[in-house]
Amino acid sequence: MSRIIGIDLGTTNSSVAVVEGGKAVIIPNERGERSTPSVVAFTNSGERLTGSLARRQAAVNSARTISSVKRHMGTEWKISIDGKAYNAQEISAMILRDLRKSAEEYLGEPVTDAVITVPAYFNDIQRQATKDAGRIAGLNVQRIINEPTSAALAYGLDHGAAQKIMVYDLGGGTFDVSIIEIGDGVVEVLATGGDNHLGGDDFDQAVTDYLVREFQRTERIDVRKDVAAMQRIREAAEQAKKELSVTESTTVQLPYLSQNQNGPVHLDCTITRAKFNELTRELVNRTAIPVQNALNDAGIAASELGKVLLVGGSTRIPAVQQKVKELTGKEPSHSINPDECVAQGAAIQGEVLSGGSLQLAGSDGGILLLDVTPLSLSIETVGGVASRLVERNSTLPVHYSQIFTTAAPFQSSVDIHVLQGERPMARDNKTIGRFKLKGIKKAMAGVPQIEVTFDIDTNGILKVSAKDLDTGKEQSITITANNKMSDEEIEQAIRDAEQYAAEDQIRRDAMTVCSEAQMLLTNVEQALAAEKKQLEKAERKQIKEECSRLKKLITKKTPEKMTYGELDEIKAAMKDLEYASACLNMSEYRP
Amino acid sequence: MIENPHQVLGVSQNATQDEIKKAYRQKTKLYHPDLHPDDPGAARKMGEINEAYDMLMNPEKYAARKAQQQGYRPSGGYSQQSSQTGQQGYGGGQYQYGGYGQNGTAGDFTFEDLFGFGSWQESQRVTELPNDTPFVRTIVQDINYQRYQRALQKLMQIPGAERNSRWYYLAAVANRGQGNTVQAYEQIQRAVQMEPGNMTYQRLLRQFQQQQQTYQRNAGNHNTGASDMQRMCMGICAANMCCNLCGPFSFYI
Repeated sequence: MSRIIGIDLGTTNSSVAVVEGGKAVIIPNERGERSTPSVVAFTNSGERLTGSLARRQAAVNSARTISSVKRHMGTEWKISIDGKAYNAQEISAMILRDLRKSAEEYLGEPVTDAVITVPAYFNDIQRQATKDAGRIAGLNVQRIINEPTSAALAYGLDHGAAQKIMVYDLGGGTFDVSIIEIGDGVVEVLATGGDNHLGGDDFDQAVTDYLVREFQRTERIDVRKDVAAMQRIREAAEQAKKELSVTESTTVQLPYLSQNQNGPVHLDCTITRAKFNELTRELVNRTAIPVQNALNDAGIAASELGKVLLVGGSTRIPAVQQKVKELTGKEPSHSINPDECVAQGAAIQGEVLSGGSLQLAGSDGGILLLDVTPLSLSIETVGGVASRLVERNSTLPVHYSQIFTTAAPFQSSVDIHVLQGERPMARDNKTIGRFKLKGIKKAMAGVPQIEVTFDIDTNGILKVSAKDLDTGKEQSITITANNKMSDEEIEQAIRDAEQYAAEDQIRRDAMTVCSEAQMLLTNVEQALAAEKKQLEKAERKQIKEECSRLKKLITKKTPEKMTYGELDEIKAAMKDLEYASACLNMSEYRP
Repeated sequence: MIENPHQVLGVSQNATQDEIKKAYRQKTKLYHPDLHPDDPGAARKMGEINEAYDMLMNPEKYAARKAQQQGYRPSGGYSQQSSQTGQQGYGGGQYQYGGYGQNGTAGDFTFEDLFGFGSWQESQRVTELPNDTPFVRTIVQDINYQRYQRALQKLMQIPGAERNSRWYYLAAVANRGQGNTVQAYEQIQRAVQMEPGNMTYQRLLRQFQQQQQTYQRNAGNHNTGASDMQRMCMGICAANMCCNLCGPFSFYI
């Protein structure tokens, strides 16, 4: 098996790591960045951009730029670009493919296997969607692991002493908190909680709203309908948020944001940290309940925690750190890098899965991760009640069965409605699957015995089966989303993605060849002008002819539309020109 | 369900919690599917180990299941109808029989519950007990003065090892006062599981279940409005159940 890489597929930023020499190292991308913005864009010429290139052009191309796609994972969300509808899995796959490419270049070998992280509070459908995204990107997803657990694994590799820790992970779009116990080479999750829709994006939004309100108050202009202006405000808001983590006050200046009858209007607004804290107080407070729930579920008091780890970029906000301190009575630890530890932990898990011999510091054996299912699983029983089969925070893998019976006389089929969530009533929970067990032997209500079995694997993915103990009839499903992509759809998406990748490649190659040809032409023409007099007439003519032939070839089409055949033609023409102009003294040109 | 969790983990019947934890970790290192990627049976084996460990660490969770499994007795024909489709008129749909007994909630019916005579107090008063520690007494006071937030904060400070049924009961009352109903419900269930004979806990649990019924009734999603006749009908039906199914409950789909 080739090496398994670890990928942190984040809401705003993603990163990739691999284990080398007993340590998890972050792989920089081709632009030398240690994390890649999770942004995908389609330019007007049809080219696809990912990462910081995509992010940089967002303001001028906001309709064709997609960011925070993770928030749509496992939903029906789709975006239509140039007549093709992309779902969240396909967009995420473009980011994953980019990360995979960086890893391949770094390692100098093909990469086919990965461990990908997801928020601990992701439900089954969101996990499946993430797995599908990996497949579309050409990766066998060996394991989906939870982000806070992954962070704890990275921490545990260096700090193996027996202790209980809390991981407080406030990322770009999601909030997770996990209570984890480390000891005897085992990293065991005791409890986990969170909020799938709380993160840095919400802080940006709060600041954006404030700037829009202020602009309206002072200038009497409502910019909410102006897409480009809003994009600029959003970027400025994010920047201001980051600055306010280190300074007490910052000024947002956006010249020419809008205009009125007197001409252009500029936005100039000072935000203090106190104001920022006031704007985001509600958001920070929302993290308190999951923290308390997780501690409760783990059955421990905050004073029993040995360490509190902060993960995710949003934990740089001073008010967040203050809140954590208030909730746990502990100074949060800064011993791990909040942006990188998640990918590192995934790489460590990848190494464990590929049979590597990593060791937890201070233990003799290997390292083992025991994770839990974040949400309770139940089936709907009479009265719309959610009858729990698997309690949240059960250690994976779980195998559990229970006997049910029919509610009505002569009922010949039962509808197994599988739910995920903590609420007592079925309809308040998330439906994650439904199937029918038919052919139950007709009997009075309460006579048939139907065994319902839940199996959750180490990826947290659920299989439910129902069996009539009397007739032996059995029916089962692996839980899939309504919008879950079928195998054919995934195959198609893989083909599409590969085709795009090939197109991207030829586009890049065409650019390179054409610019080289252009450079050659410029040089030859310059040298020709300088040495015209020393040449034979025939030689001059020959060179000029070759020049115009090459020129024609590279201007016939834009580089984006060229085929490899045409590129070969250009390369041949370049060779001919070089040959013909060998007599010229072209010191500047280096093919 | 596993017959003998001690045997699965390879510990003696009177092993301490620390010994159990140690044995569990050793077992996981031998059998975890991560270490046996090619063995399809590994997940099953590990599932068993996980269950055995959970049974020994949280025995109260399993008490009801054990009862169900040992004494499983298919219950005779009650005129209860499926409300799965939500279309049939008289379903037991409004009363959640299915919820009973699940997770060990040995909830017993009273006619008060059935007919809604039980009074629902908005703020629950808690009485001090002779063996409450001074710290717990301050929590009780906080609850009685409706300072729920403070009571919860104090409860959270009590270490895991000292969290008994009394702790879960107090947490349930405080959480309910604070409006965290789902959490409160779980906590009172836990308290009852830990100390099934305690009438105070049972009474609170019943109030919760009753509230839920009201909630269901009002929501009217599954059945159309409850006429008196229908209520009567169900009352009888439920009373029937009480008499006949005192022991193990089965779960109706």
